[in-house]
Amino acid sequence: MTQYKYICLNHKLWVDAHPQEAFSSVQQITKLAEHLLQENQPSKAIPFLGSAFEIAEIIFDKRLESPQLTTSLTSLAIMLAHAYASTGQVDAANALLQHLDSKIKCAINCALRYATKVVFFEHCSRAITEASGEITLTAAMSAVNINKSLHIH
Amino acid sequence: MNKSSITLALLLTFSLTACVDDGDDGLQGVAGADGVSGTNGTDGVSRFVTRTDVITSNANIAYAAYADSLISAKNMRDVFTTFIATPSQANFSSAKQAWLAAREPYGQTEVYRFREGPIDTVLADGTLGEDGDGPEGRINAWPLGEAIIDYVAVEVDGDSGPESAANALSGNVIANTADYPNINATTILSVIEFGEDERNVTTGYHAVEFLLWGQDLNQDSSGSGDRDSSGGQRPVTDFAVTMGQCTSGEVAVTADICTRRGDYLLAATDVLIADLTTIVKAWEPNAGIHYTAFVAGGDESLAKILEAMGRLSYGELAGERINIALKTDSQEDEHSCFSDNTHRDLFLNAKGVQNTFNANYTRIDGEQIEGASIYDLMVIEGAHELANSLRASLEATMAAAAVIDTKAKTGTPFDILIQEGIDQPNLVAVINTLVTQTDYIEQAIVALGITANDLRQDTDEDIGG
Repeated sequence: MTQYKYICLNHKLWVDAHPQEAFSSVQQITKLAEHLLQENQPSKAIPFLGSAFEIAEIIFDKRLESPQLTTSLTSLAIMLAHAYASTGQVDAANALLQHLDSKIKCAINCALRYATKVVFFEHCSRAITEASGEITLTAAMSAVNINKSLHIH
Repeated sequence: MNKSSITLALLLTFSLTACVDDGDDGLQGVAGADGVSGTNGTDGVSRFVTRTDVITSNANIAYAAYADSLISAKNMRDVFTTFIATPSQANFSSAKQAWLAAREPYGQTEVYRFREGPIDTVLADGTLGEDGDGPEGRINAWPLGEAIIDYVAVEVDGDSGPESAANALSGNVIANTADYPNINATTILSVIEFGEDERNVTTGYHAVEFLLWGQDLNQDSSGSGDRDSSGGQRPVTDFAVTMGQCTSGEVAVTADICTRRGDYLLAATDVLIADLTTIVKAWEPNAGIHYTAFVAGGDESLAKILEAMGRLSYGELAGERINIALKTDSQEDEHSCFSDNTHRDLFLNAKGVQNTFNANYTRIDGEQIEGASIYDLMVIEGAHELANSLRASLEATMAAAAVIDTKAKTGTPFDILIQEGIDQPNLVAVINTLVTQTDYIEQAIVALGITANDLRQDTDEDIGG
């Protein structure tokens, strides 16, 4: 069973019962989080992104998948992973992306007979893979820079 | 059944339909036809609609989207008034947010271009002229002639076009107090297409954008070399009205220049509001000069809807807005180059096409508008497999556009992506999905037995190869 970090059990029950309203709240929370990212405040954005991601994931897991929801879920995971990475939580970033990627890959397997659906999911999967690569690269470059500065000192 | 239950049921229905009905095998399409006998779509795949229903829904959504654009523009003016009176950093940030918010509904209206609608035909007096007489150029034209408006760097990306400082009229409008003692709507309209060069754009969303962000010259202010992830660097002191604090970038200038810059900002917004008001009036349900003619237009109107979807997808979006920028790697060819908001332009334009197909639109206050869709019509007229393919191609485009959108929000905006060159995979993916959806739109036109103009007439670009 999925463990939720940002939303409580009561909130989950509400999402279960009101997926449509919950998805509207995802969009509202995402706007707030995007504004914080724009203001270069990733640590403040993380709780918003985390809540929005978990709400979207609950709806997704209930097989109420829609293209808009899946696109939002993917975008949220990428933004949250970048926010994690920029606050030094690279492992959490990678774990999150891996977690969603396996879900999307399951969806691709489920949709294998339906070529057009697969194309859609593959866009999401590629975006996740690409974000994961960017985060790994950024982390590696930061490590090199830290090592360099240690040598200088 | 209450409203939320119906919504949930619809959500479930569409979701399950998408799972079993998006196939290419034709057999699954039979399930799609079941919807015809459903009760108002609540227990079926589709619902019964007529061509007139589809056209009317399209017109109603057009009205809502333009009305939202007007509301946002008016809100923007209110925020600007506060900012100009008190040019603090916080108010500057609010002014920029108001511009970004105003772009959200407008971006979704661009699918109402390319169809002889009010945006392309309505005159200032509210009557309809010829195609091309409308206010589109005043509202959203780009690239901007920024050197005619205000101070600029001599060259950006090695490109010194007609609007470069070197070629600008002697002293830009804001600096030239002798020739332009007052700055108001009349002043800025008098310099539009200055020197009979249509590239000299001085009004619209992008004039406002330039006045808020300034040129995007990168952190080293070089205007060349590797770009950074931020937009333009205009300082808030460009609007300072306190003696001795007004600047034009890094140069201290007299306070009247900052006052004039504020005047220009308001004048450009006033022109925008006036133009949007005329368009909204023309689309007013059951009363607007265009609305009534369009709804009564039958197959000709239906053809225009699909033609515009295709022409925006192919020539404008895939061609002019993405492919050219990729080829030239120039911010001059980037739509919202000052604010680095081009990712939203692309996403919202594509969203407008999808909205049109699905006959839905989310208003700026969150209200969901839904109507009779082209999807429904195609299913009813027997083209269910093509309807599903077209719907899926639009979803693929939205997924690809969302990648660009998310990349910008995580530090890699459009102007950095185009630096990677013509094969930049994320942008090529959007181009390819747009070309695919254009192919399906062409097939839909044939399937519905209507006649439209060439969907690929708006660009000379060789795209989607």
